[in-house]
Amino acid sequence: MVGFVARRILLMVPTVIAISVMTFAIMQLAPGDFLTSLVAGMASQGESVSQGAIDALRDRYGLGQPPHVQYLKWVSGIMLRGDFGQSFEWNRPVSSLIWDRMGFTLVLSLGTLTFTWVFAFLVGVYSAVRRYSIGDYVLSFLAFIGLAVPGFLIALVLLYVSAHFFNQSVGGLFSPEYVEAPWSLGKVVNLLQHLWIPIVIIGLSQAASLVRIMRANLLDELHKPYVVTARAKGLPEGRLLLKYPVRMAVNPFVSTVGWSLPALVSGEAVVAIVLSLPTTGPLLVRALQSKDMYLAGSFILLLSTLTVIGTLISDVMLAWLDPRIRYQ
Amino acid sequence: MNAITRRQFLQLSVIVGSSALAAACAAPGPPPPTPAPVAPRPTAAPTAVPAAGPTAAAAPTQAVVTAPTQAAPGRLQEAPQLAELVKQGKLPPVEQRLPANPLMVQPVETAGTYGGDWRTALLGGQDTAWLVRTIAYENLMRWDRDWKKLVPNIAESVESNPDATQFTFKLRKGMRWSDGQPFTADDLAFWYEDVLTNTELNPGGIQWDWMKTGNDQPGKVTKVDDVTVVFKFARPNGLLLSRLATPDGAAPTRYPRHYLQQFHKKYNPDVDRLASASGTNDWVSLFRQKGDQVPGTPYDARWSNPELPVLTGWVLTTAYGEGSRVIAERNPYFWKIDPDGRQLPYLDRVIYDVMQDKEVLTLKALNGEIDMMSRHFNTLQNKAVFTDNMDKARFHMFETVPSSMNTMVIALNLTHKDPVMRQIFQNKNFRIGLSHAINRKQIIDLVYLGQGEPYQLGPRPQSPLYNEKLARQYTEYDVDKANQFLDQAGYTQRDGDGFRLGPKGQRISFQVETTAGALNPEWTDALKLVQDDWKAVGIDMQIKPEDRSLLYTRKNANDHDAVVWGGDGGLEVMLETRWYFPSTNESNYAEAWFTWYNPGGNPTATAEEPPDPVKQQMKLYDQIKATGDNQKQQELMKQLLDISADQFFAIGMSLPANTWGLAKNNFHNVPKSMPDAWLYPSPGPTDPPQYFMA
Repeated sequence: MVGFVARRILLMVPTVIAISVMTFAIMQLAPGDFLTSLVAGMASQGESVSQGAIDALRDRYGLGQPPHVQYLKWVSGIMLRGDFGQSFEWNRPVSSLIWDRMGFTLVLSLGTLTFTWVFAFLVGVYSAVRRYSIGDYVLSFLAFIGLAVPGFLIALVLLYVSAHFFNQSVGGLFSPEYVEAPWSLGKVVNLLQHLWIPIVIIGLSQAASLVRIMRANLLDELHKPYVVTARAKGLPEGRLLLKYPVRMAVNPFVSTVGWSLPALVSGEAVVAIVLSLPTTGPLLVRALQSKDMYLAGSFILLLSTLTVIGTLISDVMLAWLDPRIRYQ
Repeated sequence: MNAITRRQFLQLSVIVGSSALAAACAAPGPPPPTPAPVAPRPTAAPTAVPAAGPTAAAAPTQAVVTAPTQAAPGRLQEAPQLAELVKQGKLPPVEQRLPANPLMVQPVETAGTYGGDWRTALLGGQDTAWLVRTIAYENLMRWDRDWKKLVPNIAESVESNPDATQFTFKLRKGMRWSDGQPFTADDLAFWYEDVLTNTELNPGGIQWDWMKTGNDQPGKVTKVDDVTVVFKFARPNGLLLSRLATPDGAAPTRYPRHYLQQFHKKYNPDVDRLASASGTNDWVSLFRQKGDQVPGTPYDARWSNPELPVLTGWVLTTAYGEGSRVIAERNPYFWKIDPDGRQLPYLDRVIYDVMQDKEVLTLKALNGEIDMMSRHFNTLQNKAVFTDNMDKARFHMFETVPSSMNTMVIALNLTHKDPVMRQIFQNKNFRIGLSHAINRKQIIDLVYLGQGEPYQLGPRPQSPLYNEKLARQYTEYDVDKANQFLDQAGYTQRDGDGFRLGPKGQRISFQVETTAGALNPEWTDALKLVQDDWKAVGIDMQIKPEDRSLLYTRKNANDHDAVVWGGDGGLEVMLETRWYFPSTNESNYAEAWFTWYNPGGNPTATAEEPPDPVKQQMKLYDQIKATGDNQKQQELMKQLLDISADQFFAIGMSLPANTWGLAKNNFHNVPKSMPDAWLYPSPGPTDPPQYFMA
């Protein structure tokens, strides 16, 4: 087991290095740099920038240097000083920008993860055990809707309904009267009242696919001889179900941990944009659009690293859960 | 009623003004520690520079532009919250907070009442322009509400010499920054000596073009006494006062010396320690973070540093990017009053919700959660749905007249790198033929919802510089005429597919580049119709939608066949000349000629000498800049536009229809109609401090 983990960790190092190089290369591929996209954006709003100012900025940001110099500067900053660089657009250190939005992002993501797992587990087990019942059909129908309809569309519809029929304020995580209020019980309740919408929207599509996987896996197990044997020996139905077939079918849950970690940071960016949530997703999208190099690069690096770590965790958990994996 | 009363009022105030001015200036400015019971005399709405049109944008010869006083309307009054603070001893009394000569703002409809939050919104993290437009428009000079005249604002008066080389500004005695510290000539001197001419802060040269008159030599700014500042130039700077009234003109009065000197190397030798303590690389970064903008980016400390003292009506309390809102609160030291002597602004706070998605912002506005706004959601397409919701959400619309004179401009590259393409595009008959071939009526009906009229690249009809020929020539849809002109151009041979052949016997085929995505999607729609129209006369045009930054890189490097962009400069004709002659790198039809005119202006294109008529235009424009006489400027600009009409540089589509903004029914004093431009940062010049809710 120790050798297995050690090998995995060693493999992570070249992976992360490769990712950082790729990240940087991809950002250099697009034509122009932060300043050209900025000038174009400002021109479309009727503002103009003098060429002298642009040149001075290009010097200051080091955008005129060859790519490998820029890359080494960036990576050495991270490795030696933990300095992710400065965001051009916000004129602030990248790390402070990301940390600012981490709190809500974590609350939202953990909430979503919990919702996804609880919903998928319960519904998956139920619809496998009660196959072809009315409950199975209704829940499967819901799950397919969650799978098929893009999250941002559901978000827009929910927003419209809540604004049009219930006169709720549009967007954000709080009602207007609570936005600047200090933290209080009322504010927490207000947050929870708003938070369930993004959690359900983001969770639904992930949960839907997990439900289908859970159902299919469990159905495979339910008719295997060991289940029949256990039942013949008189084991109570509930205990039997949870102790044997469900344990076999639960592997896909564990392997999703690998993707869940990066989702904690990037979330569902599009849904967050639609709902005007103060999370990191919209920041990432904006950074990519404006070619805010160090911000976007650091984000992608962070996400990739989290994916790699997440994969490691799920590998370890799977190995612990299912001894067969260790010996392959 | 307000138009007439206002005019009468202005006339009256001119008469009263001159006699009362001396008295007002003599009134001592009350410093806060010593109580001074002198009742300050408010100025009337300032008299205007005579005869300067929005296009004119000019400084008059030998003019003394003054904000004259009128009889004091009794004691000054203040908002209840401020009165409460005064009672508690946390704030000096109102007489000590205002200058001796506060500026009196004439309300649009009626004097208002104190209180209320103005709810509006920003889109994404870069929408500083709406902040500038709503709360930051307080410069030395300002436009009047009709964009017809220039009036002094922070300056009490300004005087210029006959050849426009020297400008003397009088400031308001006793005026204060939002933190209560005095605002004096020292602050302007700080801007000039320690910001503008500081090479570390401006490594790329002076960032404010209007401070230069040729040869990169900036003018000189000197302090005469605490309330007098002189701007002196080696050569005439006829457009200075106009530039000071545009958003860019905020520079001289946005650097509070008492606060910013701690972040400046010259005043604080220890500044580098401060810089590293706050996580910035050097003092330049720190200075920018605390009080400056980063030239060429949307970063501006005014929106990120709530500590920075300002002169505006509201002071930032929650910075942009800190949360999901930006909040600005009433400035207790604001230096404007209403006719009853009540200190402005009327509204307590301005609250900007930071939205990420345009559709959600639209929904928010439809839901009645925006009190006043004219940005992002105010498209022609949205007008119908907003009209339907007017009663339910209790808002009304006001009209905004775009300064743009064209919905889309197709600019063929007259200085194309390929000599064959260049020969074709420079052939004026070819361009005339293409223009006649476009069915503009159809495009207006299908793409612009029937709003607008066929138009070329001329000043808008409202402008005194309107030029019938320039605006309307070749707009008629006539396929026969189009074919005739194209034949005259010499391209009579056609290939098997019916396309015309160029001088070397190859098919005439070119790409029109346009922006893809959310920005102006209608350009691509309209181009599809143009493509068919041109195919009918034997011209093969390909549409190439691309990211706008790619479009910018390509056309600045002179790598394009043709591009589409909007028609800026319909009202501010003299300040925005891109479509009238190759004067900026936005003159997409002749990047190489512009580079010849201004070698440093566009380093990515190779300079090339333009033909004589264009050189004549450049000469005329240099003369405009060199004169202070508005009459003469107009005359020269007319000559310049006549040459533009002869040259027919690029092909226009249609005159943009008026757009709109919305205000809640309980939100008052918003004019029913206002110009909409960046140089007239609407609604700023309509005096947001006098908006009120009731």
